[in-house]
Amino acid sequence: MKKLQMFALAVSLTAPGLARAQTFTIGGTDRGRDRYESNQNFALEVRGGPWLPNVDDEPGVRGCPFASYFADSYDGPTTNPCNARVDDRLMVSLEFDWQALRINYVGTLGLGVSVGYSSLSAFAPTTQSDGSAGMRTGQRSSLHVVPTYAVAVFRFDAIARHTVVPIVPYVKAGFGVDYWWVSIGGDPVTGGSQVYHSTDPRLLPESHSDERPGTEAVEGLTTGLRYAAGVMFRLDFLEPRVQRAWDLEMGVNHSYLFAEYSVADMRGQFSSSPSLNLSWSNFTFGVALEF
Amino acid sequence: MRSVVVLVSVAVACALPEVASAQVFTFVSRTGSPRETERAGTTTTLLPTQPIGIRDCQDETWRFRVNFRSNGTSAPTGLEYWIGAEMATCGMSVNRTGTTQRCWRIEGGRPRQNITPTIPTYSDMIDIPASRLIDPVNGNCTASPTGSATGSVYLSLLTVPLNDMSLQTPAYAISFDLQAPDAPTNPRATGGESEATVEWSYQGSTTSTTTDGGGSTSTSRDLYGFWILCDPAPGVITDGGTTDDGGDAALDASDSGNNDRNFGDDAGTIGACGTGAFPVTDQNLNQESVFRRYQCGFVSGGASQATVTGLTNGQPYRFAVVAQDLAGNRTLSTASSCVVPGPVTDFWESYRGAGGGAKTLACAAGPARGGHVFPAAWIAAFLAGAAVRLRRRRVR
Repeated sequence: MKKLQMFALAVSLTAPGLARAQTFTIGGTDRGRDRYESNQNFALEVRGGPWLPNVDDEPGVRGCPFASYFADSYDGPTTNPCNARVDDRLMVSLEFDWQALRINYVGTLGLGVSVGYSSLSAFAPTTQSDGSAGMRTGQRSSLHVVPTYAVAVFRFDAIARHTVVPIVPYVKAGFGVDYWWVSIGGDPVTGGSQVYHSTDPRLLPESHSDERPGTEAVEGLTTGLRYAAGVMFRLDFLEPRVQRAWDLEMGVNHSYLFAEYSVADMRGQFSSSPSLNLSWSNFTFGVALEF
Repeated sequence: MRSVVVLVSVAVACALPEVASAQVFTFVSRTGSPRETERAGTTTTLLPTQPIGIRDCQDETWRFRVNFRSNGTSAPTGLEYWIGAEMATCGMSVNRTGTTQRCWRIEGGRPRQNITPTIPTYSDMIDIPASRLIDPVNGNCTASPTGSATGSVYLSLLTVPLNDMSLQTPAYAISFDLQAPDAPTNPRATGGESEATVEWSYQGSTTSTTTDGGGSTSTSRDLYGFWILCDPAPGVITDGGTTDDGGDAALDASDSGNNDRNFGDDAGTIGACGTGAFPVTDQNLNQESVFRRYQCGFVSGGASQATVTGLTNGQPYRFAVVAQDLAGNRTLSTASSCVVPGPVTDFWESYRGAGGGAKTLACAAGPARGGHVFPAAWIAAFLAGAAVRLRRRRVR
């Protein structure tokens, strides 16, 4: 609850300032802007794509603990943990950009912040008397990651604004902080149904406690660099009247589909202590609005 | 001919006591069912549209408000409560006796009420055991007098003297379901750290028909959920001793000290798993004290697995699954094989064991465990900084 309160407080403090934010212009008058078009200051992206961190690439890690733990299949004998193959997971995220500077005839330069989420989960093995892992149990252990980043964004929208080709290439670069945690057990709810416990008072102290054994999370931060390059496909030409009406009523100037190649070099470069390697690179896809 | 028919009809109508109010029975409550308190921490109020199940039938009482007013020329001398197999059959004497009988007088409780002819109004609150609603003659909970285990019965009031001139008031429909659901099959369990995951199969596809007081019916899948039973019971550890651990004394006595049933006394071997019959059987399944002793979880709807928490590491457990239908009827599965909850290796332990050197927040910034640091704080700090810079620029 404190987290939500803090977030609400931060939003309430910053929102008025952002609402008055404007886009500064250099390079003369913005001739690419439609006569009746509203001001364009921001962009919002909703994206999703495959995600798989390179945890096992960390120097000093023996074998492939990540791959063998979350293995979906094996390329060879299962006795070699590095034969394990983990399927990509879905990463979903939201990015908000302030298009702070319009460089006329070229594009916009802005600041973007993003937050996302993804996770991996596997049945935890038993711990044998010698400390090694035994057979898999019915209890899950998960790695959850909430990646956040702040990037400079340059969108080369001259093509879309001055020609009939509706594409906007762009690049991003910045730094990120991934917040992660590892859980065991978790919610005793499976199959979409709530588990109720006996009225027997002997059960109540443990089963009704959030601090039951095995569910305590280990958590950490990983810092690093973020890069991306992509192309946005402007949808305005499909229904120009609808887009214009949307702009008049809600101030949405343009809408896009986009594809982006993202590189997350998240190895704890800005941290003094070793960090979980959450680097990854892959394509992401999504929709974007400029407003 | 038509005139004759009309005259006869008028004559019969005048001879019958008239009922001023079309609604004679008004449902007030149904109480006493163990279903009301079977879910921990909640009290369930059973509705009149929910069918009477086996467990309801044994302990439940239905209460109705009765309002009857006769303003006919031939006032009745008494009233009787009858149960009919159909909505409107009890008025005719042929349906009340013999081989064609479709109506039965409620013999328990208060079957007959005398009313004063000069004040032909009867108003009362009556309590009728659920068993008498289903089987008005014997009060059994196996089937209605027609031999049906599911369906509806119709409560009505008949005027005395009983003859073909007796008036049957509008009947109140009550649905019942005395048929146990299909049994879950193939229960299997896997142990975790202080917990176990129990899975099962269930093919039950029967539907339940419910009837409201007016006789409207609706159907739905006849499944309420699944109970998970643990052996040994929650909180009991088989420690190899011979003294009673404080369990149910009557149950302990019932198995003559057969310690493979963990009724509260001890299994013969330390950490032994029960090898005899599962302590909850088809015979004691509807004994609430037994059932509650061994229940360790409930999942609603069509789930096929559940996680039972709060178990003792190192103690073998076996599980059984009980399907419960919408009328509260239960059917027991066979017992699963034994599993032993024990420590498990989570991903972090596996990673550290392989030489992973990442530090956690607890290591890097002191005791930060117990709550996640929401990254919104990080984003909020960035946004706040941007806003402050913007404001400063505007002020200049």
